[in-house]
Amino acid sequence: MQHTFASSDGPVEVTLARLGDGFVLEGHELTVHNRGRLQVRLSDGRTSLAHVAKVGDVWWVHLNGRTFRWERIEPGSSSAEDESGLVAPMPGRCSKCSLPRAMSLRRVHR
Amino acid sequence: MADEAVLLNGETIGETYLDQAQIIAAAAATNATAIHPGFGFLSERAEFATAVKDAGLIWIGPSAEAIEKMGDKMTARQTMRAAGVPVIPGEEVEEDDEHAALEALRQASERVGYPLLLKASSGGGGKGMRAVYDPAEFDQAAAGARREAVAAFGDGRIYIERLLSGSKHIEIQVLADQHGRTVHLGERECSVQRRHQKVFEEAPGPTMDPELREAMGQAAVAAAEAVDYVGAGTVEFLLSPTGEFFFLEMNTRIQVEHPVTELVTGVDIVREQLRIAEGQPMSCGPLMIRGHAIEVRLYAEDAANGFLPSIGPLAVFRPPEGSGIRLDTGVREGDDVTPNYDPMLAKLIVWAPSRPEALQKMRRALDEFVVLGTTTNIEFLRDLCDAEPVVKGSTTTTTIDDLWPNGWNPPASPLLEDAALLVAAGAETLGLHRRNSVAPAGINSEPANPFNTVQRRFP
Repeated sequence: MQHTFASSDGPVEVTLARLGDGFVLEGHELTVHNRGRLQVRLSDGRTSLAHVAKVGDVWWVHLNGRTFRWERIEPGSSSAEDESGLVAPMPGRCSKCSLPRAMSLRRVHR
Repeated sequence: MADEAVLLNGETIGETYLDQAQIIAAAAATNATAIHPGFGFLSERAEFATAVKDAGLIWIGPSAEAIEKMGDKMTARQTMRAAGVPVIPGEEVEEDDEHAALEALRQASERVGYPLLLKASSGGGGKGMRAVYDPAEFDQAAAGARREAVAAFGDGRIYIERLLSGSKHIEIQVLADQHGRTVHLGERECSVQRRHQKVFEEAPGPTMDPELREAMGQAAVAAAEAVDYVGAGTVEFLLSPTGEFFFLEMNTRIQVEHPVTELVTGVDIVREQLRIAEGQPMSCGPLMIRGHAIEVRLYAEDAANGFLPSIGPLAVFRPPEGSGIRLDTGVREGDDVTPNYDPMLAKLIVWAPSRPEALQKMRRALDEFVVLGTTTNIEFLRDLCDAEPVVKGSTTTTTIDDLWPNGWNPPASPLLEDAALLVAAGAETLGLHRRNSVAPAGINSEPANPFNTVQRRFP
């Protein structure tokens, strides 16, 4: 259970340890209850419910009144810092270009 | 609650909510007898009020004449001065020619004194407004304000007000019926503003006393009566540290922040608007203020990045619930926040017997408000609730800039950040992105229940 997330300091490797039906990291415990309810026991003893949603590659996490965003780097891909999603111009080769009748196209890049 | 909705055809604001003919046609098609313009869009357009009446419908608002008199800020200042309502020291300049106008403004600036504010006569929302602290900056600021005013309102007339630093923004809610009765419903303090837009409003004002309330209330009533006002309106004042107050402007519609007044006075302002428009006398009795109410405006914006509007899906939108909590919103979970409309997602309002209790309830409500998928100002608002001027009630119109002169940033919390990383990694391992991580409130695995949607509010 290893994952990599992007951060301002570079990629962060996370290795989760199992704890019953949940996970442990840095003294924090995550428990998964019925229907996916997520409960976190923080390393300082406080407990809190967490809410999550994944939009694209980014996990949005609401915890204790705060919202955090962690962008997951897919295994095998280069780091998010290198790519950070789409780049413009998109790398690739144009194989086909459809135009309305009576319009012309001029090539400006090779 | 609307029992019928009409989809406006078109893509842009101009083609939909600002299309007067289409809105009047929708009223006719549904046999509606009156139009309530809400706030924003056409609510302060005198020509729309006239068009509604010309179509044989009831306009739920003041007369076109009152809207025009108060909508033009220079005319409003002159009208208020004549009615004995104190206005901020300053001068109006009536010059069409740009060169002559700028010269007249420069001469007026020397009489008014610095620091000063340049304001567009047709202005609003901070457009065409410039603060000037040094005479050397004046010419450039005046030209910029005039250019912005022409672009935004098609009217380049600018007037000058002395900049009153350390002042509070206090506004008085007024109601006037067609039977000659005009009353005020006390004040709201809306000093906390970012980019000249309010984000935190409360009633009653934390530093107000009954004498000042009555003095400002009577001035607001005089302002309304000076333009034969009918309906609900708000008279805005600046309250200086010395206790003097000055007329700023009158909003000839219901205000975004009206719920705080409703919660402390028990008066349903929209209901009174309907009664007044129908020709009935208003039903509210003598003013009684009970407890304390606070409203915050939840925006889709990045408070840590100069309050820039943000867009994205409302993947999770779960407001807080409970006694003393009210939410006015037009969005639902699953909606997309687009750049096409105002980024305000919701108004969160709390009521409690005292101000400290109301503030504590707001803190808790903001902590429990979950919005995921789009960046919002929830954490900024939560931080605001702990700021000393807010706790003490000593806020002024520059509080946000004073508190965070280099911009706001969320308080660092490495502990929670690490725990959030655990949650993200755990959710990824469990594949929670393929389904709701937590079932929506009131919905379980049973067959679809239509009553689950009864309380939904639609845009």
